[in-house]
Formats: sequence, structure tokens, C-alpha cells
Amino acid sequence: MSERTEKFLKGKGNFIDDITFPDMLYLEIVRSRKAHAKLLKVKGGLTADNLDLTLISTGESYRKGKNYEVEPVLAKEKVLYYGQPVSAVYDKDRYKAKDLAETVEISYEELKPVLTIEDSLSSKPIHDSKKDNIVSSFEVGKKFSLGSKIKLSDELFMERVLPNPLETRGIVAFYNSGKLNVWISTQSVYSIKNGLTRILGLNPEDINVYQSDTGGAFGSKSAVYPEYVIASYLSIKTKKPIKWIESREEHISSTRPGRGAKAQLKIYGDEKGKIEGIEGKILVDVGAFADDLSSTSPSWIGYQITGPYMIENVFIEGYSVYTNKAPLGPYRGAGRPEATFFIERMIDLYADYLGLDPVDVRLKNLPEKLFESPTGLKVLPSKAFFEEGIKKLNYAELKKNKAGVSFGILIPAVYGGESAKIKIESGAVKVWLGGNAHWQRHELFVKRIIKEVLGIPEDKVILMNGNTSELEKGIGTWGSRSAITAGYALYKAALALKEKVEKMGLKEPQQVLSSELSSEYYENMQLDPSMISFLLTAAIAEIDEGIKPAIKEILAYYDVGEPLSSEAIYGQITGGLLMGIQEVLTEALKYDEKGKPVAETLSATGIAYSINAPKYDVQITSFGRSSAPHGAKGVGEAGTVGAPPASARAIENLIKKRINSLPINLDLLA
Amino acid sequence: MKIKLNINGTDYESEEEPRMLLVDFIRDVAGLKGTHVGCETGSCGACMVLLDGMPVKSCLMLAVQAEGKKIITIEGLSEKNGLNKVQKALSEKKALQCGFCAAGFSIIGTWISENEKNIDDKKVKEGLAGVVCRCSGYDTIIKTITEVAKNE
Amino acid sequence: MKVPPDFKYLRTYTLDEYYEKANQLSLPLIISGGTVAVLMLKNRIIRPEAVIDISQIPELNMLKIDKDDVFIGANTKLYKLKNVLPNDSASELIVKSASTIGDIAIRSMGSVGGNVCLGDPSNDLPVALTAIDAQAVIGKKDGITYTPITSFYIKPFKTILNKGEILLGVNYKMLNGYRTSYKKHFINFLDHYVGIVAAIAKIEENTIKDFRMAMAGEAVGKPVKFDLSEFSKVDEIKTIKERLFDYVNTIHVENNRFGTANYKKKVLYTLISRAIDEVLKF
Ligand SMILES: Cc1cc2nc3c(=O)[nH]c(=O)nc-3n(C[C@H](O)[C@H](O)[C@H](O)COP(=O)(O)OP(=O)(O)OC[C@H]3O[C@@H](n4cnc5c(N)ncnc54)[C@H](O)[C@@H]3O)c2cc1C
Ligand code: FES
Ligand code: FES
Repeated sequence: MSERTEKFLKGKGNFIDDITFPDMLYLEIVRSRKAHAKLLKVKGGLTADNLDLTLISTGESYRKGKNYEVEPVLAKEKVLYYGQPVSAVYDKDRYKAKDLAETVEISYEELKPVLTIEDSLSSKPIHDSKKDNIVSSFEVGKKFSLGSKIKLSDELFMERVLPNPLETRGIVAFYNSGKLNVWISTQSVYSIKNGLTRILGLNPEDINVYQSDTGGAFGSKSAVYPEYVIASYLSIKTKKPIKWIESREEHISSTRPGRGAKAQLKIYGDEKGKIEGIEGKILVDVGAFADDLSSTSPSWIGYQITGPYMIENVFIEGYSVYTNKAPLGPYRGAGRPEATFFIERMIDLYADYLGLDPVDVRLKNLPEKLFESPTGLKVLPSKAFFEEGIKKLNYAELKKNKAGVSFGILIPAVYGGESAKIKIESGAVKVWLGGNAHWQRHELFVKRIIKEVLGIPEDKVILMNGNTSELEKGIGTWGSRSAITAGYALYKAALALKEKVEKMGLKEPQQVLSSELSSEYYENMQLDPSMISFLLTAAIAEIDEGIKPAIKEILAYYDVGEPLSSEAIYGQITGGLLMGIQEVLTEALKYDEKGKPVAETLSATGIAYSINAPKYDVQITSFGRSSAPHGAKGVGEAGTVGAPPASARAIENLIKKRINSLPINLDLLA
Repeated sequence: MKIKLNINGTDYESEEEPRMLLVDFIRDVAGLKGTHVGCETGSCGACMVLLDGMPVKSCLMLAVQAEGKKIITIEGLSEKNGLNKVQKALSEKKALQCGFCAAGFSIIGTWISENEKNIDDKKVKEGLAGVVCRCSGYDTIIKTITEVAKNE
Repeated sequence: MKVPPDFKYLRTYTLDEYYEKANQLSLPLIISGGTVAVLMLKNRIIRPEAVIDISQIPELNMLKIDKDDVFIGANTKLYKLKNVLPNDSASELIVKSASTIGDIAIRSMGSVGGNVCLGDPSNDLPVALTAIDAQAVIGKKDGITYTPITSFYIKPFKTILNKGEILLGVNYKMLNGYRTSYKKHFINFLDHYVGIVAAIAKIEENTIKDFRMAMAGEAVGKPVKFDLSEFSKVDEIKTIKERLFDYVNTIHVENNRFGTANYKKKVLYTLISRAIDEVLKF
């Protein structure tokens, strides 16, 4: 049993809104009600006149020479997206803070909003200082020219999607005796600490960041946002604890959504189903402001465009462009689902053109030895895995049910490595990880590794929430990385501790537990192909009464390396699969013609409820261990990578109309 | 105005504005933080409690509306600091991940297992609609609650 | 965070008390279950001077069955209808409709009166009530009036209720030996409905003795009642459908977040067609 879960089920969690201090002040943000406008007047609250800072993006090097505009903490002169922070007010009474927010006066001179990628390319720059709306451009692979018999083109699109963790974002900042203490619902206390330190010009010694229990994130809780800077600044100024909790409405308008990616691709092949090349453009709508992650997204998608396939010729041009929408961030999968959807949909197009079974076409193009794509991506031979999976999922039966099949890869974001700390204290082993937990799986692999290396029973091991004062350096939880990177660091830290234990001659776990030993480890890591997992997904659709598409059954045959706990992995896979399915059916962040998000409630964003859950058939398998010491591979994002192309294909098989845009256009059913 | 509520068998009385929401009374006046706010519009069930035995969403109610009624929150589903059958099963089966939806599923799961007859997967799936879990894909939650309810 | 603006809260225990307060105040808001009223307050789209809680008024909590006449008090909770209504076909249609509203939490908080008085085209009961020719029972200081549900709605979110008036409940005649069908369609759960269709018919030996249908939903607007009196033969199904499809083609349907006009029309055709099949086909 997991202690964390038990605590949650008793109602004893310590989520961000559960943290209170005496004399606390509540912060409310006053936001732009226009997507694009000049600010004529802002009267009331804390404004850019008092707090004139911009967010800082990490990875400074990327910014040089780029057409790169970072978001200001509070809007100055112009607002560039609906929901952009304009002013901030606070009160010791939560309800009064809200009343106060209403008294702030803002007047605008409206400008025409730029809302689509096409618009962006043809419109005047939304940033006055820039020459156009292109943030960055890339070339991936090598130019080629082929006399292929078959050349097919299509334009594919994945709409913006909100992370929508059930717990919205939130922070408590408390400046006390010369130090800024920050409690936050986050994927990384380190990116928060680094960001706040640099933006506010603090000494790293003067700020501690503590992770509260974190009610889901899906990418939305990694970056530093304006509200965090404002809360910290106000706490420093007032010397009082300040709390800010995001409303769902604010999440919809102002938290960074993901996807918003378009591909114009051409696939080259022969008449027998051998793919000879892929070329085209990938365009990403980064919203009103850019950061390193969003602006490099097209090249990251391009890098993995060949997926598990052996495609010898690849040339992709990538562009990220500005629009008058909330800045883009990562959403579960971040680039991986995009690349997979794009290539898989192109392969289906090619198979259909030839009248071949899409599974056969895939088989023809899978490598039997290590393949290095012209993009630089290296993948292990994937053919054997696919063949085995197709058998295990009973393809003959799937075919009868008009299933859609997709095959993809999951590249874990191991870059940067990770840290871990072990401290034995009052009879228990306490563990801190650089990548902060919001999944049970962290707790499970932590207990497992400590038990394996140090022989200490699992019930004596406690996984602590992220804390920059206990563990100074770390990275974060995203990109299906934790089991590999944090697991690796913890394993090494445990080995170091074991050495100390042996030196001291401690034999029994009891003796170890009564010691006061500790150890800490950090190492950078490089991606190697053994860490990339293969994902085979199949979906069966139905169209209820001819008007309501749904996924009835989803099957997954996923390579997870050495599984740490199949129950916890199962939940992560089903969770990702349902998100992926929903992205095909209804889930999207859409804007009206004025640039205001169309959805006003959580349900209107199209998320999945229990009634949307399909029958799951998840087979967890290992296609060899990864090179990480405990052999794990990534899994967190597997379902969001695998489900969309399989589900789109399954529906396509029923309606007999091509699906190249998500969520599906219901007009196809009309 | 004076608002007096009975939560988990205890009376709480406090001078509050009439506009205070039930969920805020539960969290901030009674200090019971297990009831969460996920959406504020009735879309997610993170704020679910039992009101005279029926599941309600406490973000859609004024605290004054609950006067004279018996409120049960996630903390009050079992005897002192324990877990009831549904909570125990959800924990054992690792049905949850981030845990933020725990109140919703504990409350609705308990209500279903005590009130619905002729339980099967489909009934539970429909019964749970209205409570969001963003992490798990619902599968283990549905199976776990079905199992507990069948044995009820 | 969404919180209501400040207001006075008045709990009323009798109708007279309600009339007195409602007439004194310039901008009162009635609250029964509160599922929508509290949401509107939280969104601050209304700023009433006072909120009048009517949940304790006994007349509104009654259910009266008098021969074939049924009166459902406005405060009756939606989840209760299944257990308290008689077994006739009209009641069956109401129960079918009520059991599809929101989720169990919405049904245990939400009331019949709240569902009828909001005037949202997505509300369920008005469609069922329109189909069975129910009446709105309206109370005011100087007496009670009975108005057919069909004339209760002026346009979306606007009913004929005036200040100081209150819906006491709804009233309808039991119908026996009918077949009922209730169909609706949503894109997102707990969101609005594209279309809602209710149908009830009595058939004897392939002859249609009585056949009533109503429709509403986001694509339609306020509830509409179809006049089907000219049809008497079950084998006219095709003609009946065509007639109703023609009607659908005359309504102005917008492209919006629920889909394109084309798609929404297809939804309406489908719902109508399914409902007709269910009540007329054997
Ligand atoms: C998440 C969610 C899902 C929903 N799903 C559905 C659905 O599927 N179908 C559906 O039909 N509705 C739905 N609703 C709307 C609503 O919950 C129901 O219509 C419910 O029946 C309203 O009843 P109530 O008692 O809560 O109304 P209240 O909120 O108390 O009142 C609603 C309105 O009616 C007025 N009113 C109430 N009683 C009277 C009276 N006796 N006389 C005059 N005026 C009165 C109020 O002033 C207010 O304007 C949903 C709401 C939410 C929040
Ligand atoms: S917070 Fe009440 S239903 Fe979501
Ligand atoms: S476990 Fe995260 S919302 Fe359910």
C-alpha cells in the first residue's frame, strides 16, 4: 500500500490550497479581457508601473539572434492575449480580494487579433519591435530529391489542448527573516527557484522552494509564471505570506496549453509500400510570447518524425510563430504525440493509396538493425517488437473490428540528468528527488531501489516532497524521465550510502536505520537508444447513432523496460490513453473570433469523464532493459503518444473520410 | 450572519457573510481540507460531500443552504482516522495517482455501494460520471468500486 | 477564484412571507437548490440585492395526486421524482427526462422549479412537460394562475414570470397506455445539449390515437411543440419524419462550439427519427 495515497484517501493531503499561515494575504490577478489591444488606462492594484519585470527563459544560449519575446510579468502598453496579467490586488479576506479585483479599471484600444498560423504568417508582427511573426526557424535532416513513383501530400493539425490537472496552479510565498520561502504545486522546485532567483535578482541562498502535494500537472507546472513572481514580490514587500490559487477559468485563459502544431508533409515511396522519404514543414503556434521550449518545438518534432521507421531521406523545415493567444507550454508528451500523429497519418495515407494493409506497410519499413535517421535520431531495430505485438494483440480480430493501429516511440527527456538525496533520520529513510513526485510511481520505485540496494524494508522508506534546501540541485519531472533519471541518481546515491554502511560495519537494516547517514548524488545523462520505448496501440471505434464518435476499446502493447510496479504503470498508461483518445474526440482549447477561449468551464474543454473510458487491454512488456542501472524506460506519456493516431484511424475506418485534424471535425459526420 | 453547520457529527458555528460557499465553510471554517476545489462550476466533483445522505457538489451551494442538514466529508466516511471499504480498496488497488480526486471518488463510491442495486461495471461507470479523475483513465477506479459495491 | 458578490440572504418559511419580501425588494433572486443560481452569482452575471431562499416553503415541497391530476411542487428534488410519481405514461416521460439531468449530485441538489424557471434551452424537464401539455402553476400575492408550459417561455432565459411571482409547481394529467421516448445529445458531458426530443404516443391497432412531441436544445431555442394531429396511421412514419425534418430545416441553427449548423441539423434529424421509431414502431 502507498502511504501517500492512503493519506489522500483520508483527506489528509497537503495540496497548495491546504497550506495556510496566520495573517495570510490572498492575491487576485486582474487580466486582459482582450486578445490584442493597446492599454489606454490601467487604474488600481499593482501594475507594470510598479513592477516592471519580464520572465526569464532558461537556456539563455538559445535566445541569441532569435526573434524572441519573453512575457512581461505584468502587461505594459499592450496586451497580447486574453487572460494576460495586467494588475494584481490582494486582501486578507479571499472574497474581498475578488471584490477588489473588480474595482481595477482598464481601458483598451482594440487591435485585430492574430489567431491562426496562417494569419500569423501573413499579418503585421504582433510585437512592434519585431519584423515579422516568426519566432524561430529550423532545418532538420538533409535536402533530397527523389524520382519516387508515389508522392502524397497532406496537411495535418493538432489543436491546442489544456493540461487541466485537477488541481490548478497555486503558490504561497512567505518572506521571513531575510529569506523568501515558497510553497508551490510543481513538477520542479528547481526551475521555480532558478526562475524566481533570476527574475527578482535574489541570492540563491535567500530563497527556498518547497513542493506541496501536487494534484497533477501534465506539463503545466514546470515553468515560472507571472503570478509566482508577483506573489513573491508582494511577500517581500509586505513581509506577509501571500497565497495565489488559480481558478479554472484562469487556467483556461492563461495557463500554458500544449500542441497547436501543423504539418504540411509529403511522403515519397515506391509502389510496394517502401517509404523512400519524408519532407515538409512543421509549424507551431507558440502564442504571444516564446520560451526555449516552445520556440524549439518544431525542430524537436522534426527530430523524431521518422519514429520507429527506417526512412532514409528526411528534410523538415520548422517554424514557430506568434499569435494573440496564451503562450504555449508543454502538454503531456510535448512534441512526441505530434511527431507520431504526423508520421502515422502519412503512412496510413500511403497505405490507402496503394490499397495495402497499413500494418503491412509499417512492417515493410521497420529496421532490423540499429537505424540512424537523417535527423540524428537513433532507434533500435523495432521490427521484431512490432511483429510480436501485432500477434499478441490478435491483428486478425482487430481487422474485423476495423481497428486503427499506430506504432510509435517514446523518447525520455533524460537530458540534464537528475539528483537524489537519502537521509536516515529517526529510524526512517527519507528520500528527496530532483524530479518532484505527483505520481505514485515515484514512491514505488524509490521504495524498491532502497530495498534492493540497502535491504531496508519498504515501509521504512519515505519519499519527501521536493525541497531546495534539502537537495540543492535538481531538474524536474516531465518527459517520461523520472524512472530513468531520478531512479538512476537514487540508485547511485544508495550505492554510495551502502559503501558508508559497509565501512562502518553495520549489518542489519535495524542498525542502518539507527545511524544518521546520508548521501547525495547528481549526474547528467545522455540519451541512448536503449532508453527509447516502442509503443504499439490499436483502437476500435463506434459511431453512436451516427452522430457521436467514441472509442470502444483501446489496446496497448507497450515496452516499459524493467517494470517497477505494473499496477502503477497500468494507471499511467490508461490515463495517458484516455487523454489521447479525448484529444481526437472533443478535447481542445478553441478561441472565438476575438481570441477569447470558447470554453468557460472544465467540462466545456472536452475532457474525459468516466463514461468516456473505453475497454482497455494494456499489455506491459519489456523489449530489453534500458542502460539505466535498474533497466527502466519512460512510460508517463506513452498513452498520449499512441492513442491519437490509432483512434483517428479507427474512426476514419468507420466514416470512410480522411481525418487529418484534431479534434475531429464533426461536420465529417453530417 | 451566524452560520451553523453540522459536519461529520460536529457542530460548527461561525459569523460569516451569507455569500460564503459551502466548500469554503468546510475547508476554511471547519478546517477540513480533504474536500477540494477543482473547477468551481460543478464540473468535477472534487468538492463532493454527502448532504443528508445524498452526494452534492459543495462549490455550487451556499453554506447557509446546508443549515439543519447533516454533512459528511471524506474525513467523516469512516471511524476515527480510518478508511472505509471504498477508500481502503482504492488505496490497495493503486487506483489513484496524484490523489486530488480522492474526495470525489470516496464520496460517490461510498454512496453507490450503499445505494445502488444490481451493480455492474456499466452502472458504476455511469454513476461515477460527474467526478473527474484527470490522471488515471478511470479503469481501476471503476473496477475497484464495482467490486466493493458488489460485495456490499 | 469565483465567489458571489455580497448580498442579503432571506430565508422564507411561508408564501406570504415570500410575496411580502419579493415585492419590497428591487432586485431579489429566488434560490431553491442553487445549482444554477449560485453559479450565476459566482460568475457575477447577476448582482441581486437579496437572495430569497424558498426551500422551506411547504406548498412548494408538496406532491399532490388527485384522480388523474398530478401536481409537483417546485422544490421537489429531481432525484426524488423516480420514487414519488405515479406509474402512468406522462409521469414515466418526466422520470426519463429527469434521470438524464447532470449527474447524481446535480439531481440531488437541483429542483423541478429551478429546472423549469431558468429557461435555458438545454434544460430537460421543459421538453418533457411540453410534450405532455403540462401547466405551470404560478403564485402571486392575489392568487394562483395556471398557464400552459407552451406559453411559459418567451425566449431563451426569459419566462413570463414577473417580479413578485413564483412558480408553485407544475401540473399535468396522467396518461395511460402510452409509449414514451426521450432522446438528447451532448458533445461534452455536463455541458449544454445540442438537441432534446420527447415523444409520447398512444396506439391502438395501428391507429395513432394520440401523439405528442416536443423539442428544444441549444440548436433549437425555447421548447417547441409539434402539431401531429393530422396523422392517424402508424405506417405514416416516413411522412411524419419528413414533416419534422422540414421543420428543422426552417430553424436558424448557428455554427458554434457545439458544431456546425449541418452537423447540428443531422443531430436533430437523428433524435427525432429515433424518438418516433421508439414510440410508433412495433
Ligand atoms: C454541472 C451542471 C450540470 C447540469 N446539467 C443539467 C442537465 O443535464 N439538464 C438540465 O436540465 N439542467 C442541468 N443543469 C441545470 C440545473 O442544475 C438544473 O436545471 C436544476 O434543476 C436547477 O434547479 P435548482 O433548484 O438548483 O435551481 P436554482 O439554482 O435554485 O434556480 C435556478 C433558477 O430558477 C429560479 N427559480 C428556482 N425556483 C423557482 C421558483 N419556484 N419560482 C421561480 N423561479 C425559480 C432561480 O431564481 C434561478 O434563476 C446543470 C447544472 C450544472 C451546474
Ligand atoms: S469544484 Fe465543485 S464540482 Fe468541481
Ligand atoms: S488521481 Fe489525479 S485526478 Fe485522480
